[in-house]
Amino acid sequence: MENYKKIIFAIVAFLFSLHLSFVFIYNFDKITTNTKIRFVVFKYMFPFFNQNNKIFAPEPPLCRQELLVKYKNKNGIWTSFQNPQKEMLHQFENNRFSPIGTQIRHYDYLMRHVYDAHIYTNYYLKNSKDTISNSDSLKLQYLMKYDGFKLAQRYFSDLINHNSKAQDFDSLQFKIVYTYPEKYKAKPLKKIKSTYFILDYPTIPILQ
Amino acid sequence: MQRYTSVFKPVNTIKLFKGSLLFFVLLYVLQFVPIAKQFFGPGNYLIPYYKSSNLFLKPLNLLEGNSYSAYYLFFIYGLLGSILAYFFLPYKRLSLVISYILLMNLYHKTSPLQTGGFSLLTMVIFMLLFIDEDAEKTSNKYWKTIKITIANFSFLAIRLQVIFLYLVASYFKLQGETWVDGTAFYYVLFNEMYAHPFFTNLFIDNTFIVKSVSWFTLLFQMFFPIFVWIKKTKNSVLMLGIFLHIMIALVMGIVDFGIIMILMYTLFNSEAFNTKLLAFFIKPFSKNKSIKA
Repeated sequence: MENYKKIIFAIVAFLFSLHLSFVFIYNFDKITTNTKIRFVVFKYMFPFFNQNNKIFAPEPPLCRQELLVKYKNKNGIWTSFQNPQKEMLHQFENNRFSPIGTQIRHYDYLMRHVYDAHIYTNYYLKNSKDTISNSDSLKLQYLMKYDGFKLAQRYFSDLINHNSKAQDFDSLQFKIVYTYPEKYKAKPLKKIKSTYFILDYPTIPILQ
Repeated sequence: MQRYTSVFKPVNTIKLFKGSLLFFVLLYVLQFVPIAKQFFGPGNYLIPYYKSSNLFLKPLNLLEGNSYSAYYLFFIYGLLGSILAYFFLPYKRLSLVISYILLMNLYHKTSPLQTGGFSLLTMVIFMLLFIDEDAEKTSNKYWKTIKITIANFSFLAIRLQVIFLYLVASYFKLQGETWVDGTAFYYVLFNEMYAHPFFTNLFIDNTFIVKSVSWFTLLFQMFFPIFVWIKKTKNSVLMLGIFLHIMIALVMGIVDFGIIMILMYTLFNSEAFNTKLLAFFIKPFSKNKSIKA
């Protein structure tokens, strides 16, 4: 075999091995704690080889999560809590190829942001000394500092403004319900006992 | 070494694979058009995700800020146009590069909503840019060797990336509890977001189904990386994979992931089989052309 072929092979094979090692380190990042190696690997992998291979691992979601919202009209009357994702899921059940699948994931994305806002707020409520003594006002103040929470406020404001032109609403409130099923006991769905964890949020204004 | 530097064999496999991936992206983006404004347009409902100063990321993430969001239709229709150009015009590699850039801009904007399958797809399209199926027609012998060697290693890298997906998924599943005790499928069925109610009601109280689906998924992902390289077991493991991904699409509704993974299996078929498949798909468009095996 000609020398130039050997040289080309050696160079490409070296680059290939380097690539594979980086992919390996990126996926199993506990292999090394060396910050310099991790820095180089992450710089190399992003954006061309960014990957998420931990599909439903180590566990699938262990609970059902629902982001609920209720609205208050200008006469002070609240609607009941509703979950707009239910209707999307229903449509998606009838057509698995519908683009609504992306909207369902988007709703989930909004829910994650509303939950993260709660974590962010709790952290600051515990660790900051504030002058505001009313805890609800303080909580609201921190929630509204979180971009994801403001995004959810805008999304649900637009939703109600778009859907109910006849009635004027001025406030909304979120609630997240986590439903944990009991350990597997081969029961039909209706007989499965569940425990609930509920996150309540303060009332926020609807954006016009 | 000789084989890697002198000849690139899976020419038709790559042609079929590129074509089928781009056709999938075309359909995926088309069905996205009616709801695109919500995700890409001005006032979209996504917050900036990558607050990075990465130089390579910027041209692939133009929709992140507000400055380009008014032009989101340019990215969408540009992508559709470049894919059509790939199929019907010359300069296929240029069309592929343009498709990749536009696709990455759309992908980065919506990446928190995408599955692992879609990130695999974008990565694979990037690696496909390095494969020139016509490398052997290059006249300069040095350039030809470089092209062929890079094509061979890129092809191997793409196949290994598919292997990595299963390897990583199974390794981390083994760290959990529910995949090992066989109840993972129960939690999937319980979650409305991931399970069709028809299948939930049918299977949730059936211990045999719940445990066998959970363990089958885990074992498949663990052993795919081994059995797909063995001639005797390859076809069976690919058929099982197709079955698994169709079920994931139907039961869990993660259709794009299922389709992408099935398309990835093209890379593990024999060149002869892919040549026949390619001929079957090309036949209606080119009556006079035959495909060289």
